[in-house]
Amino acid sequence: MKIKNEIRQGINIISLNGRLDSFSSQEIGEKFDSFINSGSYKFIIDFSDLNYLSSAGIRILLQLKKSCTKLNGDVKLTNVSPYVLNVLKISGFLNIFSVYENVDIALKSYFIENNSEKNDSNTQELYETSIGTFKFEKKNTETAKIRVIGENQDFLYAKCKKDSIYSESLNKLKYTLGIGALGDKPDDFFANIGELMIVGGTVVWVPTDGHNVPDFLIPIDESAEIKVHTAFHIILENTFNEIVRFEAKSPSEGVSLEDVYKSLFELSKGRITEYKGILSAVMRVDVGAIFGAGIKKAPILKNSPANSEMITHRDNIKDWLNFQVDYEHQNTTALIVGIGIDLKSYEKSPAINLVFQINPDQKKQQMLHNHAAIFKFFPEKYQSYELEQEIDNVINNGEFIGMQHLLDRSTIKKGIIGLNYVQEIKKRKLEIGIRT
Amino acid sequence: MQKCFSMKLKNELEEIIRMSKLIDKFGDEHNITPDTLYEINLALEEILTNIISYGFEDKLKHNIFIEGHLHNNILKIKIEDDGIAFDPLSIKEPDLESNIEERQIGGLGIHLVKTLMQNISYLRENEKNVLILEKLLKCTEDLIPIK
Repeated sequence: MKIKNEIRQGINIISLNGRLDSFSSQEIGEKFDSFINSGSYKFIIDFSDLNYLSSAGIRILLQLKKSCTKLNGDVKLTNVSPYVLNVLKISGFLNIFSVYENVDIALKSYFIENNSEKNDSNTQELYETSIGTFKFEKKNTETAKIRVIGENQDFLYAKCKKDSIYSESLNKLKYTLGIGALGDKPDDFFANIGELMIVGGTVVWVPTDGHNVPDFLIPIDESAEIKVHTAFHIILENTFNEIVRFEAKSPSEGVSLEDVYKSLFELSKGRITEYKGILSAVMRVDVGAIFGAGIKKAPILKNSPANSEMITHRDNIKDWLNFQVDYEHQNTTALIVGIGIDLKSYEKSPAINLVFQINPDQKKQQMLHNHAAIFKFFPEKYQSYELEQEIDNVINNGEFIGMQHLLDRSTIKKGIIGLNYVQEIKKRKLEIGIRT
Repeated sequence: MQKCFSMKLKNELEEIIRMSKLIDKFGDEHNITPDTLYEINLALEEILTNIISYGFEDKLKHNIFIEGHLHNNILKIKIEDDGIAFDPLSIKEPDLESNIEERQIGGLGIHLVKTLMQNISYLRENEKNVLILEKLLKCTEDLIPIK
């Protein structure tokens, strides 16, 4: 086993040559300790010439990373061979170590993360995970915010009142999800409040008028004052911190939305220091199975469940929710707007309750809320990181099928994800209320 | 069943290198694919490292025997030592999920062996640990399959 090192831009780049096994790892471990003792705590380990790694090698890499993490440093791996990658995967270490294609990309990643200035290089970083590959491209380092309109509770207990409906000009909104309606007169639209989302500025709404036929509205004239009326809504305020290209390991079957978020949560931890365990995502993806749910009637006071329980309570759920499993459209393209919270690592704050109803003794590891506009399969035009262009292309040229509140077990094959590391959740003050 | 390799090792970690050369030679002779060979090497190292590091309470020299047998395309590797009784199948599954601060590494070696081998059996016999690993072999396509 040979070890070489050089310092570039303050980062200690170590090349290992040979076998990192139980025999050699003792010596290499001591070498790592001496680096730490001499003040290095940011490392890139180049595996180009490492042809063998066993648990003893993983042990010293873990020790190194633990020491560095305490000092605000990191250990990044590059040029990892497929066999070694497989060992890291089986050992559950791909969510501990970031793996980069080569030393230059790993080196850049140290500066992109720490540099608040916009980075204009188009560096992509690749992560191989057990469910597929994720390629990240940084877009901006704005503080990602979410605004919440109305009360989560009003929706969950069907207690929306006319005077708690907020109206908002459509041209202010680009990516949202929640419940609401379109229309001029409150008396007309109030009883039809249903699932609603805005994606790329287009409104997709399923009125609860009993027909279950979605409305799909592309505002042609941007000056026209079209208003969206809503009782509960989550608004993503920023464009994306990062764009991620995802491809499932098995592209024909895909992987569950739940697993995609789970991986995104894990990968996000290594990408920004201010990670708070909350992500918002806008996706343009090819989907496999669609498991959807939709509300059947308007969640308004008049319709409130007689037992005063939530509409999702076991005695109410049949009356309130339509569960749909779409086997007909196995090959579709979806535009998804969603938000997710990693219950293992999120920063606890009362603001979370604006978005999710978290049951303290629940066993779930994450909570997700996603709405999807579903189209007939529509191929990507450029296979690029230009998410908004691709979304516009689907909206303008795709064949719209319907809209769903997506359940977590729906499956995703591949596509582009616009990711925001949500830092702030704020309640929108009543600006334009239509109190009647 | 055909005996294809055997070796007597001392209870020193250095012996891992000699063992890996033996396995590489076996791989060459039988056209085993590099991924399979890696996995066999890894499994043997994990087991031997455990025995060498924790198997002996005295400071004396001990011998560990390994022996490979081929049957169709299954490789059976027998590992025998006279250390303290230890059944690798009895240890609990390692932590594969927690974050960097809490991550522990105990049990990882055995987890790798269990994942990469098709079968493992353990026996305590005549004051000796006898472990048998079974690995389904993949050979490079263009060459004669193993008989």
